[in-house]
Amino acid sequence: LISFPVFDRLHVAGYDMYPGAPDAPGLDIVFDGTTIVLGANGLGKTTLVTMLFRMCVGPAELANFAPGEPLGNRILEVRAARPPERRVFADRVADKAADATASLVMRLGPRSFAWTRSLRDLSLLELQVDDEGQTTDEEAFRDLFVEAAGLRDFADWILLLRFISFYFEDRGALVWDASAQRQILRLLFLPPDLSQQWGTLEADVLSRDTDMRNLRAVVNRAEREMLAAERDLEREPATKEKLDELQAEQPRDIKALDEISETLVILERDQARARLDAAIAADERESAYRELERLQLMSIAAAFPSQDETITYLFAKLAADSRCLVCGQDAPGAVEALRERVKEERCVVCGSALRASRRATNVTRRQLTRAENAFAAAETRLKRTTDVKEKAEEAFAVAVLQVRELRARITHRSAEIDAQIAQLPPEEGELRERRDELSGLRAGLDEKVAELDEARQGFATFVADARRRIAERAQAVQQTFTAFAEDFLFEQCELRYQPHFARIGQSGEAIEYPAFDLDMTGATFESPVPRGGPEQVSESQREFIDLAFRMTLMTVAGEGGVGSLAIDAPESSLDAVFVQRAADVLTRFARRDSNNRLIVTSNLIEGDLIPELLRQNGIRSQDDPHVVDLLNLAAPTAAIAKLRPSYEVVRARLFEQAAGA
Amino acid sequence: MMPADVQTLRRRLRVVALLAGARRAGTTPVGISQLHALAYFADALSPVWDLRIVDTQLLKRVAGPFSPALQADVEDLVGQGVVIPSDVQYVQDPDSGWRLQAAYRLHWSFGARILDEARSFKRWEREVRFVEEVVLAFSTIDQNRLLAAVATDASYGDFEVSAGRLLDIARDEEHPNLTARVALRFRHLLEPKVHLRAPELVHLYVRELDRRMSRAG
Repeated sequence: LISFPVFDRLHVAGYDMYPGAPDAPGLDIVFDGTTIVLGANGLGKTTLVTMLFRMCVGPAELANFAPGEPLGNRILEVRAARPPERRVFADRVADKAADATASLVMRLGPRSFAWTRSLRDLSLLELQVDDEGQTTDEEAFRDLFVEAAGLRDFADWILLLRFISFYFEDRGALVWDASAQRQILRLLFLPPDLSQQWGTLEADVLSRDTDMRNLRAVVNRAEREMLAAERDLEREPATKEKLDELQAEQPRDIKALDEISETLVILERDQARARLDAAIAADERESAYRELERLQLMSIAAAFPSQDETITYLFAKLAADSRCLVCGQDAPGAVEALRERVKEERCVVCGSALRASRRATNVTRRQLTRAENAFAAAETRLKRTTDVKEKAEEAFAVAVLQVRELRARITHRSAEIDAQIAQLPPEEGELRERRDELSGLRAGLDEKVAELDEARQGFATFVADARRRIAERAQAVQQTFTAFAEDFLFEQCELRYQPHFARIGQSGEAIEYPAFDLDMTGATFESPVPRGGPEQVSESQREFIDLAFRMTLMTVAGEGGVGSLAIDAPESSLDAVFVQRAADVLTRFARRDSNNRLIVTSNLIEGDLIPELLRQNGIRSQDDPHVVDLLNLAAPTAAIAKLRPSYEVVRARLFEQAAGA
Repeated sequence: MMPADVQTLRRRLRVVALLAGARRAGTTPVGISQLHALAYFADALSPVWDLRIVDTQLLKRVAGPFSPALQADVEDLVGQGVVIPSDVQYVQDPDSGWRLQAAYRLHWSFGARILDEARSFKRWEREVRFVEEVVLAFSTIDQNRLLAAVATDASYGDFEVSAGRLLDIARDEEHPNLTARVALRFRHLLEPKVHLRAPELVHLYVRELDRRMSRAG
């Protein structure tokens, strides 16, 4: 199990942005359950959350990481923070935070950490672990944290904080970032040694992929130069023309192969998605069909002189989809006649008028119409999804064929070029040397491609085993997520374990990685359907789905299921009912006996979530220890200095709203 | 003949063979869930007999396998008088809406005619024999536990495939699906001392499923 950080106390001293109160300078926040950071623009809400994050990671960052962007295929490495990143707090104050410090007390599993950093440059000034003083070497700090958290390395620590504990304004959604998900699932559900091995093998494939592509670029350049040199030579026109033709075609096909290979991964994904959609549509159609069939049977049963099941069954089928089960023909005329008899309250077999008692039925016309409409909609959806599936299958099959053809053509042409070149006259000495060199380069490239394939295959086998280990926890993740999501959302929202194919590097076969997909019902979907991207849900749903996922991972993978969640500026455009549900879940997550920490920042005037959170946590005023009132504690902005009374009125209203919410 | 028709005919022949097998095993009429479960097992175990899988992909459902295409064929067979339904009713499933519940048996004079014709071709004789063998093997399990057997099955119970996702039992072109792989493993374990034939492998697989279910309680 992984230990997530549990924040206990933050003390900020000498930092001009947070001068504090006259009798209590600086900031001193004791975290216990929910902490709400209230402020207005420019008062340092985001700075406070960033400070918590920077305290944990110091002057380090993930290499090539862009917040809000998908994590992507990369070697996960830590880089030193760049000067502007080190000055993130210094640049916000006039004295460059010369003497400013921040001290954080935090728990990781059974261990307690207390440390102080300079806000001038993030350097570590003091560190205690379980009340024992430690060296202030940054590397030693990292090792201690990695070990206590149960992780592989410090890059994983940063990843854990960025994708689970800290919910920054420029966050990406973990649910829809398959590349980040696989790394998070790896670090949460694999033991550190396997996690380490994953990283080593993955880094090896990535670096081999880079080497191979570099060498390929060199070979391509050499081939182009060779072509130019040969063009300059006088030689038999037929050979020249043939070589020109071959050498012009080869790079075009290589490029086309690269492009199609890349598209193939997307097409395969589209195909899988389309097949699933069609299968779900077929299942839904079955259900809609049975509902209609049942209602029609009930209706027909009242008109039947006989209760023989086979006959009932045949007529229901005929009425439901206009098809005769006996001869297999479409029989709209017969259906019409059947309906007429039912309508006219005559026996459907012989046409005799029925006695009143036989006509009794509990099925109303409205029920039937509704069922008919539902069935028609399900049929339409099945038809549409089947069309999409067939097209996706065709597109994929065409691409696979193209890849095969291109590969065969390239191999064949390479041999042809070599054969043509071998026939060139001996006097072209220099050219022959270059040819030999090119041939050597090509052989080297082939070797690198083979080594890369082998490394990739080895990694794929390793991931397959790791995937199964992760899948063992899938059910717990799915169930926990459902519980959180049910509380957050009205829609039925389910997480499904669904491995994803993705390429490692920029070439070669895709690897099947562990991942979870999201299914959700909607206005037009009665059963949950896959939602492949954040654009397929509303903004507030997106936010709470991702929060539910993070809380789930913390609960399932965390030591004791505890951790901290720092949310910077949650979605404010929520309707009143939704707000109450969101506040319920968040409050429950951070209830005071759970050891979890919830830190939420918000503008004084934004939405109803904060008043509801205040109400549910029994917070009556800004003096409550669970409130960080930046209006009083932070250096005032020009707007605050000028309009303080107005802001105070807004704040008072906020607490009034909380009291009456 | 169009390929779709061939597929439909294969599926219908499977249904007839499944119900004929049940008749031999004395487990008729066959409930709809049991019928779909047996059809699934026949597909999953097809590679053991070197036979082609009929329905390679199916939606994994908590309630067990269900193929809308197979059901449509069953109903067509009812229409043709080949299959006789009984206990027809509709039940509402909390997860998947309205479902048909019925039990089926073969109209023997029609069924026998179809099977006799199929058996006159070597290729189809093998297919019919295989399906009947699967049904006979599963008749040793309490029919009410067939769905538990599905959940225990190596492919359907594979936790790498969640409910609500597609289970592809022919995805890997180079290797058979997990169910067939487990069955074939019995052969590898006992060779060269004993050479197990395909029917024995199917029976051993079912016995293994039963053992696992008993162990799991």
